[in-house]
Parts: sequence; structure tokens; C-alpha cells
Amino acid sequence: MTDSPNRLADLLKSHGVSRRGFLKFCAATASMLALPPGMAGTIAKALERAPRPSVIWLSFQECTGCTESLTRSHAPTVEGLIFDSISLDYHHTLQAASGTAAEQAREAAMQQHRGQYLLVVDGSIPLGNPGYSTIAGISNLDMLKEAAAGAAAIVAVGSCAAFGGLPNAQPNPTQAVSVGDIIKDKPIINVPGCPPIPVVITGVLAHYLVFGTIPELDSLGRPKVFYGTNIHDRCYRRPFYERGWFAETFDDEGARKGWCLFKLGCKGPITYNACATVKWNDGVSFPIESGHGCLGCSEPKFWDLGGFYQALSEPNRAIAGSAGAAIAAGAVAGLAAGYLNRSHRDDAKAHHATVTINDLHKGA
Amino acid sequence: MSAPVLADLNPLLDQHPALRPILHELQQALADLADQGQETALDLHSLPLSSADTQALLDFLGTGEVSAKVHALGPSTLHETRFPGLWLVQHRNENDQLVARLLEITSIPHLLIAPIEEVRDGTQQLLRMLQPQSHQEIGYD
Repeated sequence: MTDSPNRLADLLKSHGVSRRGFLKFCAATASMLALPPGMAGTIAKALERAPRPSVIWLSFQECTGCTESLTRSHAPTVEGLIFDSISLDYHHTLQAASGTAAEQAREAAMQQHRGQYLLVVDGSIPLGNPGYSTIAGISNLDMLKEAAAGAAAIVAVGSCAAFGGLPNAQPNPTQAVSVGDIIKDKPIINVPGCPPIPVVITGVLAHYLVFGTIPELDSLGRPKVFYGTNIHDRCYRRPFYERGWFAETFDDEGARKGWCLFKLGCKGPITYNACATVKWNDGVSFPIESGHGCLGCSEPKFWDLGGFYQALSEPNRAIAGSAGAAIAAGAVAGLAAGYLNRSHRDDAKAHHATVTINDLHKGA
Repeated sequence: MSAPVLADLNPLLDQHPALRPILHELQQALADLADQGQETALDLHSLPLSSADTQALLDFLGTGEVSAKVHALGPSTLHETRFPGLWLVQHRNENDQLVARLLEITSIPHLLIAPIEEVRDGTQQLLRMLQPQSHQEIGYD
């Protein structure tokens, strides 16, 4: 990559992207980041000057699904162009080099760009026997600490890196933890999902390219622009939830008519992600649109939430009482139930009482 | 197209109440363009509209005298609506997927203006082609 242009605008030009194409790219980037359209000009100016950031991508206890998600674009897209625009100096799945040469590339990039490179991590880190996961004989824990020390910021891609994910599920045999459990002195952007939506991964990179800072994050370290609303609030089946029309099985009349999948275990009300708006497979659909409830994969501990096909548990008394109060305040009952589901999740797990259709009618 | 004949908006707004504030915003933006030359743009993806609302808005805005297509990183279409100065700009990627849909309030969308640096590049290219040289040098061998 050393022979490539070192500014993004030059790189795009070298790829045959015209000035108009560049302006269009900036307009699409502004829209992707939910910025005002007037910011497209600002983005263009920033990208013209922006150096290509060095990115070191470390993969620990993971399934490569996050990398698959990012690289499954079949034609140039905004996210593809952004990904092409970074200087990916180490990614042991994608790079041509292997063995000693690969590790030398990582060490050289860390030395050359010390304090400036972005560290992307997918996969969780085992704190148990280091032999559970090593790269070139180096434990994941040691490699993470060494790479994090020289990073400007860290992007924890996927639920494993962000929250521990599947390896962290009970009984957690490897004592898997997230990046944030280990690194405390660097800015960390969590981009959870199993896997995350490609445009969400590149959106974070685009934000860093344009502004040189990390985006605004929620309490779990996730970019608000993509994780600011829950699946339920943006779901096209939401009107059926509010009417109390639910699919009871995957092949009943309700399922065929596209009614709400809440009673079939949909975790949309407690899951913050952009699936319902950005969608998957180049915008074709998302799980609920394909007839399956949301698994809640961008939330911590989603594997241990009590079963993918079990309706969200909620103490009946809490739903009835609080949702009633919300109505008095003029709020939408479904929204109140959604917030309650999230805030009382642990309590609900303890009680393990399933919300009934009558409970929902009480709130409607 | 001449100035649009405004039909009674009430049936449309009764059916799509979310459109009322947007239409007011567009009216003000057009007034600002006319009076102060101020340009504005709205990202339709960022507006809280259902797909039915969006379609009703686009149907209402209609099409005006000018349409253009730009082929850069996929097709982009630019249509002036029946309100002069109000443009519907839709960007698609090379998979023909919509990546941005904007309402631009401007005399002419910037995407249609020839970028001056490319004008210079083209000028130099034409100059080189006009300079005497052998056929081999210009690739006619």
C-alpha cells in the first residue's frame, strides 16, 4: 500500500472516480451518517485533506462473520469505497502475507503510525488458558494490550469484541471478555451485532476519516447515529403490535399476514440497531421482514437472554401499572412497554413471567 | 412548465398529516432562494415519513421542465419538481440501489455544474491532442 496515494481524494481519483462521483460519494456519506445534506460540502473538503488512516485489524475468538459482512459487497458501494480508502496494514484473513511476514507488517505499521492508527478488533479475548486462542504464538491478551498502547482509538467490531458475544455465553469456558473489559485508557467504539451491518462498520470509519474524532456514543459505547433507536420503534410490523395482532406460530394466519412476532420471541423492543432502516443484503430485508423475530444480537449477553423463541419476559404488574401511567401522560403504550422491557430486563429474567396479549391490551 | 396550479391540499394533508410541516419548510426555503439566493437541502431519509408519506410527497411535487441524469459511481437522477428551484435528487450506486434521496432548493444542483478542475484537465487533454505529433505518440499505431 505504500505506492498508493496517501490522501482519500487522490485515491478515489486514481480509481477513476470523477469529481462529480466524489461529490455524490460525499452526499451519500452525509446521508449515511444522518448528517444534514449541507454537510456534504464539508465532508468533501475534509476528505480532500484527509490522510488515509492506517488500520490494524486483529481477530481473536471469532467466526470471521464480521469480516464476511464487511467484504460481501458485489459492486462498488459507499461502504466499499470507504473500506478501500483506508490503509489496511494488517488483517490476517484478508492480507496476502502470512506467518512471519504478516507479523512483521503489523509491527512495522504499529511503529510507523504509533499514536495515530485505528485498531479494529473482532472477537473476544480469553482470560483463561492463553492457548485457547493465539496468533503467531502470542496470546490474544498480550497482542491486544501491545496494539492498543499505540492506537489512537479502538473499534470493537461485532458483539464478541464489544460485549464478549457467544464465547462469553454461559458457562464461558474460555473466560472470554470484551475489549472494553481490558483496555481502559483508550477511546473505544463498540459496533456490536452478530455480525454488524457493513455500512455501520464503515460509517464509523467514515466519521473518523471526516472529522478525525469518534462519533457520539450511547451508554454502551455504540454510535448513536446507528444504535440510537430500537428495532421495535422502526419496525414496519409495529402497527400490529399496537393493535395486539400477533403471530402465535411461524405458520399461522398471523405469520402469513405479517403480524407482530413479539410472542414468537422477537427481541426488537430491547434491541438497539439499524437493521429495520438500513436492512441487510444490500437493502433487501432484515430478519423480521423475512419472517423471523430479532435475536437481539447487538445487545450484551444476547445468548443468555432465555431463548430466541421465548417472548420477552416481563413482570405483569410492572407492565400493567407503568404502561397505564404512560397512557395518562399521553404516551404510546407500546413505547412504554418497550422501555420497560429494556430497563427491567434483569428483573424480568428473575420473574420469568411472559407478557400476555391481555397485558398488551391493558396498555393499549 | 408554468407555475403550478395548486389544488386543494386538505385531502392530501388529512391523509398524510406529516407532510404539512415539510411543505411549509419547503415553501420557506423557496422564498429564501428567491429573496436571498439561499440554497437548502433536505435529506428525505432523515424525515419521519412512512413510505406512503414519501410517495405522496413526491407525487404532489410532481415533475417540472428539467430532468438530468449523471453517471458517476452509479446513476443519479435530478428532476426539477413542478415548483421551479425545488429539485428531487436521487443517487443510486452501481447496484442501482438508492443511497441518498434529497430535495435540493437551488437554481441548479451542484452536481450538474462542470467541476472547474475537470474543465482544466479536459482543456489540457484537448490541447495535447491538438499539438502536432506522430500517430504513434497518440496511439494510432
